[in-house]
Amino acid sequence: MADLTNNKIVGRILIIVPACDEAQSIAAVMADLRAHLPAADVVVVDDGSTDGTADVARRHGAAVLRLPCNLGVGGAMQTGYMYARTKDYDVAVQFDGDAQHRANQISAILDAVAGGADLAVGSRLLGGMRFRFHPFRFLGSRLLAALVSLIVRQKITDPTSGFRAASRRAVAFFAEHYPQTYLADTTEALVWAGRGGLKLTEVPVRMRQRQAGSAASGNIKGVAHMVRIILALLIDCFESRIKPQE
Amino acid sequence: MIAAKMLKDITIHHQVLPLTAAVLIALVTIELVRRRKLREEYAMLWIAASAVLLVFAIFPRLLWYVSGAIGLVYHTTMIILCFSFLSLVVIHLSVIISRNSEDTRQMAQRIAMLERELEELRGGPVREPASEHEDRR
Repeated sequence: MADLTNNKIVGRILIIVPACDEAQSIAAVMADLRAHLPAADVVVVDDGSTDGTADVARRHGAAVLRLPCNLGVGGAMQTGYMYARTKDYDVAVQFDGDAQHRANQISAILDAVAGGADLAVGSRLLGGMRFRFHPFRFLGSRLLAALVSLIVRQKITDPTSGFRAASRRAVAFFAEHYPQTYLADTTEALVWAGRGGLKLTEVPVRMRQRQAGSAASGNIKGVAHMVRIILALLIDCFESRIKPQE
Repeated sequence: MIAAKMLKDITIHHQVLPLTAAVLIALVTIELVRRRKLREEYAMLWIAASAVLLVFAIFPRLLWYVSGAIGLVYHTTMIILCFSFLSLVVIHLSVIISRNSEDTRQMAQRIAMLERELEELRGGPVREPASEHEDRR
């Protein structure tokens, strides 16, 4: 259970919630966060919503960063990290606005950061965690896991998990460098973080099953995304676009 | 008779068609600039392209001399050259688009940060001016 004792160890916590047209689920997300981490601040990054997500989030006590146009999760997440750096937070937690992540699991990744990790990733596949992936997604996720593990020279089981906690060093790093495109915002971020000299670790967590992604993000598009991300990862192998942190 | 017909075909294929294309490209380019849909720096490229096409349209034999001079045996090679030129143009444009979206990202992020700061200073959310493009997503 995350509580005040936990906060004392890791310091001031900022929860970054990127949200695009999540007015329906953002209230539940905010209530979940309040119940389990009352001491943490929440910033909702409104990624060009048109359904009043920002107003709902404000009403529930979140600070809101409103992007004037849709940038995608990567751009939104980076804005959250910029905010965390500006406001001098000690830890930032990435938390989805679609109610997929559970607030009661945050203490697990916070503990890992308190234990010295720069980036703690909540894994759905570690330590006997059972998460039902769509078969194609599972296959893709295995392929990416193998590739990312190879590049960062460390076993990564769930590279597409967006449930993460970042140390002060990682916050500074991600405020400067964050991959922008879909899938890269999770997968490639790990590679860049590894290249940037950040200490990565994975922690077993539980997540809610999401209602299967819309048909639009179906197979052909999925394959195109996979090809693009693999290409990006291979380019990362040859030419480091990231300079290590001091 | 047949020879005369062939000659006519050659004239049509090698003069009228490219001539039309050259004039069309030039007209469309100029019209786009006039409507401020195309910036002059990009218009230059297409005006130049249409000029080259125009020269070859007026002097079709020039194409033969040029291919001979650079040692081209097959005319298909000419097509590949054209394709390469167009590919370079497209790559150039992709680079420009990438740079633009990078600029847009940075601006959007700074606007979000500044708006938040303004909100903190004023103690209330910032109301945006009536949006001009609601459904531009």
